[in-house]
Amino acid sequence: MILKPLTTFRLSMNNLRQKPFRTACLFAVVAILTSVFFGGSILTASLENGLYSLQSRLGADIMVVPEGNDTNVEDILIKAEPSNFYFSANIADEIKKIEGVDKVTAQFFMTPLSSACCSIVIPIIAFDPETDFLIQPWITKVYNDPIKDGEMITGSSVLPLEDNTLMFFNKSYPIIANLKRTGTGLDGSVYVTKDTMKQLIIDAKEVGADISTDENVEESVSAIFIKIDPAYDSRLIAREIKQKVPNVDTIVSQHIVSNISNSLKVLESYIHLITAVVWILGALVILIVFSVTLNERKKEFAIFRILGATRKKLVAIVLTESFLVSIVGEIIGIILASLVVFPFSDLISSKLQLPYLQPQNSSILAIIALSLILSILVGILASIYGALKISKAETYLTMREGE
Amino acid sequence: MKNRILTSIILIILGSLIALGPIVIFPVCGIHAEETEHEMAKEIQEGAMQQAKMKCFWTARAELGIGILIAILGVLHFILKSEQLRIGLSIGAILNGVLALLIPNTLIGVCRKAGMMCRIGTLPALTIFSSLVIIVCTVNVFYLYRLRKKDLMNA
Amino acid sequence: MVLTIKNLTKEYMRGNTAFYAVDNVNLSIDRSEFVSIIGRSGSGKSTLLNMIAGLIKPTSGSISVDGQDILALNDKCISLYRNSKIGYVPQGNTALGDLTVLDNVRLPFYLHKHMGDPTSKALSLLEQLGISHLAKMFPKHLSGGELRRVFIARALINDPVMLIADEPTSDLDAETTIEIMELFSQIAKKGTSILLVTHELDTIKYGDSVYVMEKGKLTRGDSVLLTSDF
Repeated sequence: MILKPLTTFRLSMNNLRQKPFRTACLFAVVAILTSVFFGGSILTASLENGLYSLQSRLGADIMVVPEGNDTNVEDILIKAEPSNFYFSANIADEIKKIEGVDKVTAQFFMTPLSSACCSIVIPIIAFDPETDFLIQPWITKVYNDPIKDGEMITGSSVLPLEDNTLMFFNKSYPIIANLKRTGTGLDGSVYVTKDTMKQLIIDAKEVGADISTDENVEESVSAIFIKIDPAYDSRLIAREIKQKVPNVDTIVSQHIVSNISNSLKVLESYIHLITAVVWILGALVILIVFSVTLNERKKEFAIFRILGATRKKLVAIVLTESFLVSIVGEIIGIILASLVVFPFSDLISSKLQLPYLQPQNSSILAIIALSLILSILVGILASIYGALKISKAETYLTMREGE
Repeated sequence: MKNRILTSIILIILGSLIALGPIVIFPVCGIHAEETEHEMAKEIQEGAMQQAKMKCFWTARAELGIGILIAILGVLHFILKSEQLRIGLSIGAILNGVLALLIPNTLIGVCRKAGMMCRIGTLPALTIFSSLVIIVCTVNVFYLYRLRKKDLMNA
Repeated sequence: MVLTIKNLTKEYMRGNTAFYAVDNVNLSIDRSEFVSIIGRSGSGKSTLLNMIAGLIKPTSGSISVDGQDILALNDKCISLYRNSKIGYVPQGNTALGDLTVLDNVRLPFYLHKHMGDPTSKALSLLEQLGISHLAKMFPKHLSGGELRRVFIARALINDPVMLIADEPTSDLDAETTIEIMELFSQIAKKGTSILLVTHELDTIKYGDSVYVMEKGKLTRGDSVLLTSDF
């Protein structure tokens, strides 16, 4: 009969197995600690990643919109809520004359309004491929052909029909490119040329759809996007535009970013606070459970000492138990948190109303590793005090106590 | 004894979640809203809706039935003592779980529009719940099978 | 000489007065010698045993086992000594309830580096002691006598030069007591020295020599026994 050797590992495993309720409780506590930390970290990382993505996707330094519509721009960018507003395309020419302005491009928004529950409307955005510097840099990451009339480019979360087309007002439009995911409202938009937009407006009228839009695609635009020369201050130029051009509002994209950044900081501080409280409580619970049970096992440890176990060996057994508890609890915690944070990523994002983009796999692995180290540390710290105390106690006295 | 209670509680909970999730927790389109015919016709014309009642609605209906079935299997699992019968019930639950998994993913599906609750909430939830049913019942089958073998050997 | 004790003393303070649990004890044990120490509870015999086992440090004196001065050893060395040089059968139930009988017997082998196959050795010991059929059972299902045999087997697993036993028969019935004492005799004949501490008069006839411990002092047995009462 070959039996497995009674290594420290096996002794620790056996100890855990013989007290299933206590072991299960310890697993549960570590699992809770881990899932709070892991879930919170993924949330925070996704929010920061989303903000970064928004920042790089914004492209323009200043946005010019009809007066009174500055809040609507944020809505479109972040929440993809529809808005239709227009002003004269000539404004772009006036803006070009201002010193410090480097590039100017305009976009025309059309979002069909619909009141029934299920239509999350897809904003349709017409852009000028020749002056555009916002969308095409992101397209070339997917396809290389320039867009033609009658074709569409879709944001990452717009799902096409089986034949890779979209249907609008009874007409089918082929999709020629997909854009990279940003975690913002831009993901739900569709991009077309001006001529395609004209056709869409005609079709909409034919089917009687309510689109509330200015029909004059040639002469109206919804927003003008400006890239300025790096040597100039975007805020000063924005002010100059407001002075020189009547009835417009300017939005400096830095402001959008810093607004969101502030909301993010508030949310993050809540997450950090909750995580810290949970960890302090959890560590206390583990400390108490380990101390109490180690006390009960004084006789067991005395027997080990009588049989010739060194103090080091006793400490090793206790630390191995704590290590095993940490590892298993960690795995359970990560699985549980992953079941919430990853599959429901889009739901979280839409509830938070903030840019939200899951971080790279390498970041996720780093977070897993960090939480593993933390839970092992907490386990060791909680058990080491009791372990050392036990191993120092005079075995003889301990045995006598047990009599 | 412990296995009986644990497995049946898990099945009852998961079954209820599968049945009620698409209706109460992550409501699919059309389950609650009262849509007038006029609005629906308008939407169809706009091309914004593909058919009269959306896929997620039917998925929710189907999952309601399957979820209740799984919960009932859970109750039966608690009542019946025989290990063999419980193995059979678990196999039945596994198959139901597979169906519950396939319906929102391939057999019927949910709305194609990104950002809709059925895609971002109901679909992942149903996938997770039905997978859990499959995993828990598979483990249960192996556990009961080994238990039975041990009993037969000791008899 | 397997065991040599010279002028061993253990002093405790009770309030302001000094109290000698072990008072200037001298003792020698030879190879294969079976020594019994008899004394009442509180006579200091357990303290003496625990000092020999290296669990308590004496106030003064020396203990030498197999030529080695054990008082000079650090924790690692004295643990090794306790593990392999001697085998200690403590008083009462010192089984690890979560391990099988076989694992209880094998355990000392794994606490330090040893050569050989502990499993077959443990099984052989259990067989010699007549309890090999209990190998896979847990201690809580065993009787007092069976447990005592387990502890003896456990003490022998690393081939110690000396076995020390603290009141090994005090919780056993008369018949089992005889069985256990015969076992000790056999073990001594095979070459392992035995130092046994007891308060039961009947058991002393199994030993080669008898000592009496009273109020910390150790004296050679024979003559005293006829006059004292226990």
